Amino acid sequence: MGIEKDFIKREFEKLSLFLTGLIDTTKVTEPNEGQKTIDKVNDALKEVFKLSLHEISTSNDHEFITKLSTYDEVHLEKLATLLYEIIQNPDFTMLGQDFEKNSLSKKAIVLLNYIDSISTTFSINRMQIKNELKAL
Amino acid sequence: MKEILLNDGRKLPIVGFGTYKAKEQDGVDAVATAIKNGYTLIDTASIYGNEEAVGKGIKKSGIDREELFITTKLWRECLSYEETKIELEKSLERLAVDYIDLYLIHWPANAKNYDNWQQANADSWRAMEELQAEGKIKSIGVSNFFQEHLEALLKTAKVTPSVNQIEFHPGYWQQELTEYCQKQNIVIEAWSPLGKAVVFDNEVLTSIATKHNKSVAQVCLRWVIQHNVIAIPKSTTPKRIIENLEIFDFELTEDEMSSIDALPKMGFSGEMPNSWPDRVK
Repeated sequence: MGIEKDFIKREFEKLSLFLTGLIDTTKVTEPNEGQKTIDKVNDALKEVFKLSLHEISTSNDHEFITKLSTYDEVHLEKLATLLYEIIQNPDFTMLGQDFEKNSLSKKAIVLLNYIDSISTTFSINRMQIKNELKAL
Repeated sequence: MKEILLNDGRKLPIVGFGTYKAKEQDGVDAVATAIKNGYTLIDTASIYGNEEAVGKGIKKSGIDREELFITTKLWRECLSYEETKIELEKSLERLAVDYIDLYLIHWPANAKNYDNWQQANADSWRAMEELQAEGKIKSIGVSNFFQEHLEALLKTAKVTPSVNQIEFHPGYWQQELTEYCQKQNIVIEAWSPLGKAVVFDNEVLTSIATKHNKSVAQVCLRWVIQHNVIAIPKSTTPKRIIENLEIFDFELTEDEMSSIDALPKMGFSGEMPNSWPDRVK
């Protein structure tokens, strides 16, 4: 039982660290490296969430949330932050081939609303991200 | 209970128990009653003169200290680097705990009482940052700071205040300051969330309360938390202590929130950060 618990905890932390690293990657993109970063994010999202940026931006809201509903709130919060970082970075949004900025933004809001509905914690940061996305 | 995430990663419950005027045995009993009935955030201050009673109430409750979030405050006449460190030790001793969860500067230094108010606040804050790094305080914040006090503090602060505890109730809710703080990721805590009971006869509030089959006090508290603000009601009456927590089974509509937001000024304490010790009308 103890070993199993430790394993779950390790896996949880591993995913958290992985997503944090991915968010950091989007913050420090070298000039002309935007596509490379988006490819990396796409690969990671497909591996972890079985969704690419294109699939996220084109899926319907219900399907999107259903696919993500098995994940922990902590990881979903990181996914929302990742989407936000991509949306508000012109290096990525000008590429325009993997996703459509407005659709991805709407989906990020759907995700944030979902997190609000399942979370017992209010986060000002979450509220601010949502407000910024709504204002785009 | 719903919690609010602070900018330092810690979380606070959205309703706490205020202990102003809860002294001696009444204070001990009130704190123990509150904790036994589900409060985990306990708010006191050195100026309340009840830290010992609060400490005894915590012991009496039988709940582990680690389960609780204890807030206390540095009094406004002790704003210097040295005094901050001395005062914190005194509070720790009176509360009989080895750390404080949230330590606040109770009122900012102002031009009326300090030759250099910016420096006084900054010096106290530096001491609090060090005490936080030492583990004697988990989170640090301020109380009754206006935007100008926060802006001055942020020029030298290494740590952004996690909380600003202000007067906040229907009839006086400092909307601009609240919005400024939330933009800075500073959580607002509401003192006097019931507006000194002056608001209890207000027709808008009584009609909303009747509609939800709740008391006006419960409507006030629900309005506070729906603004994502931590409410810290105080009471020494067991019935009210319990009633103040029974606000999670109803929700105010957007129209109800707006009509409470728009209430005219009432219940204001008269206390202002730039005027103390004088009160204003």
